[in-house]
Amino acid sequence: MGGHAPAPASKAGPSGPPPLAKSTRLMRADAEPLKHEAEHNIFHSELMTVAMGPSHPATHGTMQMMLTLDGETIVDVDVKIGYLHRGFEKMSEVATYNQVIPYADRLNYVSPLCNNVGWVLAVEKALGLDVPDRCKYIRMIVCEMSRITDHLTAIGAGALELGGFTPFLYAIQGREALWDVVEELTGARMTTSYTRVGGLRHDLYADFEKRYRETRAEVEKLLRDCDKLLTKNRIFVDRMANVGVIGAEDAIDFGFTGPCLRSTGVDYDVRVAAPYLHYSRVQFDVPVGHKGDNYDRYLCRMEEIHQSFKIIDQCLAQMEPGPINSPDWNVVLPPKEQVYNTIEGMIAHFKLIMEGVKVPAGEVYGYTEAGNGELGFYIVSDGSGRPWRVKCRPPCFAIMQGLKPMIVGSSMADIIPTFDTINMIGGEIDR
Amino acid sequence: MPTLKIDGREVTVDNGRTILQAAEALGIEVPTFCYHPGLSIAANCRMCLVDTNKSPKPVPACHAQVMDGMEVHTQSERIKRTRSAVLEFILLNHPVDCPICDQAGECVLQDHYFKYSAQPSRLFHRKQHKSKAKVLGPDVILDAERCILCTRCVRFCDEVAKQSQLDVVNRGEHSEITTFPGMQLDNPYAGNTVDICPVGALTSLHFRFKTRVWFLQTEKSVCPECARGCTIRIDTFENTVRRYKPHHNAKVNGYWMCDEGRVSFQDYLEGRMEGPTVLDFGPNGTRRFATATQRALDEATRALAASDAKRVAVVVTPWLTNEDAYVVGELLKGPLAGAKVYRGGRTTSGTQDDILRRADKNPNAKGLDAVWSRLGLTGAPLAAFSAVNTDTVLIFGDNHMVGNETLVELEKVPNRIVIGAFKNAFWDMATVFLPARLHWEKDGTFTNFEGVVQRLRRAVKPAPTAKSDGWYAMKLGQALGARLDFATPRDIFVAMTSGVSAFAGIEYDALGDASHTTLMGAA
Repeated sequence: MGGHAPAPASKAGPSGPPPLAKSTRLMRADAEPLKHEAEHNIFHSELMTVAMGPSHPATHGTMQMMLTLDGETIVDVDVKIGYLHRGFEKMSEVATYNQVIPYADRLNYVSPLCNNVGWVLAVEKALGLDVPDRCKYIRMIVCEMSRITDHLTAIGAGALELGGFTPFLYAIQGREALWDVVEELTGARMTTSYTRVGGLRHDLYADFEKRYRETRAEVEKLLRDCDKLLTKNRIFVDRMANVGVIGAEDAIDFGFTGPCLRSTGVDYDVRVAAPYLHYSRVQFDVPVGHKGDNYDRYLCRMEEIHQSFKIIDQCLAQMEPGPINSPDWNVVLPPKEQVYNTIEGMIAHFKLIMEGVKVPAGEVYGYTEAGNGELGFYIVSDGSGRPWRVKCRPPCFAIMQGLKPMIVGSSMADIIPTFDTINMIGGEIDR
Repeated sequence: MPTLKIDGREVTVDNGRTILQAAEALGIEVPTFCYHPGLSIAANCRMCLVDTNKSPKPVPACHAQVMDGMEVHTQSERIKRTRSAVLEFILLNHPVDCPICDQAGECVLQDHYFKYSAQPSRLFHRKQHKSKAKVLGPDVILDAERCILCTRCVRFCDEVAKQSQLDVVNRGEHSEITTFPGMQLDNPYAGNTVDICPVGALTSLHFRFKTRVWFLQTEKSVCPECARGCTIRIDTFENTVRRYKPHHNAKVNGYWMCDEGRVSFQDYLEGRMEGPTVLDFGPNGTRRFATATQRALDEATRALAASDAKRVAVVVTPWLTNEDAYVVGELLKGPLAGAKVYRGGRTTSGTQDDILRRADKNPNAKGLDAVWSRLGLTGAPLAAFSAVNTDTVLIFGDNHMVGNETLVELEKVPNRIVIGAFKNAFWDMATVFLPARLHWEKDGTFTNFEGVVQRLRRAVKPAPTAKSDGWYAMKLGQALGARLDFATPRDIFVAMTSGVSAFAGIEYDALGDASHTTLMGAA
């Protein structure tokens, strides 16, 4: 699309020059790996089975771990999910494509905007529809804001698991500050439903940038405090480093994506590997860890927050005023003044509401990098206004498979911090 | 046999065919408004314009005949622009009425605009206003603003109903459909103009503002109002019939149905009697009370069993489906062999014309004859009913067109078992009343006067107490010792194809959508 100021690498795309993003290896505060207590466990006792969950105060999200314990050492664990199953995929079959968006809010409800964007990108891919530049930048901005709130929640809760109540409050304060901006934009903290197939519900509000800058300063200050309280804190590092370790190969085998995969040293980020929206036009680092333990995952998230701010700044700098919706009335509802005053708008509105956006028959897989990793939607369309079948690939579903090898052999006290850095979200894993 | 190419695909069609027909043969959709396969070609809406190599300008596909070596393009850029422009003109003065328009949801204009244009309005001055809610006739209302002047309704009256009642008056944007001076749109087929109106200009008075069309559920069935048996769509909402619409069937009704049939469903909506009723002659005097189906059946069985079969009279009706008639026939052949048979039903000398309407106002006279021919049963007319030497009368159906004297005569019989659906004179006289299902509450088949066997489909869920006439005949037969055991109308039909020569070779399942037209054999 012409008429835009030359953005950095504006010609970049999936087939263009390589993306501007680069990978950076993170700095760790611990020295040698500590020998784990489990190796010194000489007090073998009778095995004990403990059901942890599904309604346990320390597991964020309803799930159950059937633990087999030898003293304090975990011998075996059977992870059971499904307590928050809502039938997202089945419900989508009776909803029009736009009616699925509110359902998508409830997947990873800590970063709902990522889900909104992920869903409409998949539908737009099936439609072969391109949206205006401004829409793409706004979608990137809200995605990155959501990523930050997601990471802040994981970091804060992780500190809380280890008794660090102050960093928890700081992180949640930062999250709420961002959610205030989200609320001003979408009308809700979590149930945002901000995107539409072919565009957005509405544009950014007038002083969005000002509000964002204030909030960014506030969050970064809080993050500095968290960083000071945690990153080099001996207790925190001892509890996190070399706990919940998973190797790169195992992680790939399990289908890990997102910070959990990058923490193992694998340099993979969907935003870089298969850039969507305008991610090829922005410069950012992809932090990569060393050994895939809780501490690496913590560091990855901390760094990704900074990188997300960097992306938002570039989006705000690059985007220009313009339309946010595709002009195609076969997809996007006409403006209300056209609906109420012209028969053309009225008919288009009627058909879109009564029958939905007609997606050509076929199948498509749409993917995005959400807070926890690759969020994919696989849609099969029969040409009607409602999906024939939807399959959601929630990132933490694959990651949860790795929980067992991550905690077996370690101490019972390591379950909760490990479970936290995995950042399982019930709404997403059970769908 | 010219061969032509449409959008690159070759097709050979008969001489004199239009491009539209050739495109239909290939399954290529060409949008139309004014074209109707049952009417003459007007080619006035210009929606079907296509590009050909035989003329510099686009030609209307509905009118232009195919030529050998013709190359037709229905998807060229020019044609896309043309369609969009045609729609822009058609919508120029169209009111913003969808929210209050009955047609919304089944409107060709909506469909075509959304599919072939979807462009914003460029109109910046006032729309031309015309008459709204103008009553054209007893059941048709015109909204002239919505009209796109395709003249389908005008042509219908001229060509099908053979009564020229409509025309277009004035010119340009003042053009308007209206009736000739002093005339009304009151021909007996006027309701079809509403069906063929591609927009919401003509709406039906009896359906207007009653139901939004997207709430309707549809079942294909048969209109029972005369021996023609027009193939119809029964549209229901909240388990209530909201309208009949004719369904195309070349062997029966073409595209049309008469207005009597169209509005006849209203006659069945009120006054239903859905509870089994028994007349009690106890010490407290005569009274009727509702009872369980089994109790009423027991009562009926007792009356029938107590009478010698020769002292039983059975009244049948050409409103029975073929299946019901077969089971009733089995009952008359078995336990009630020797009973006197009378034949009721509605008049057979009603209005008839050479379009659709038949004098026989019963749906299944031909079927009844066919099913019973092997039993040697014909039945005396119900008007000749005599109560002499009769202990029990079993009456199927309650829509018998009879005089008062016949009712009086019927009432002289001590035991009067009525299988009916309404609270009318027959319910009043019944000693045992068994609630029956209406034609839209049961599956089965009707045979029209030309021998076309058609499926009747259940469009409305009946009250649990209401059963079909055939079911009652089967239960009574079982109680009287006959071996009758059918689970579904399909079972009965299968038995009928081996038992009744006229139905030999007809498959019930094949009487579906495509073969709504199976002809009865040697009836």
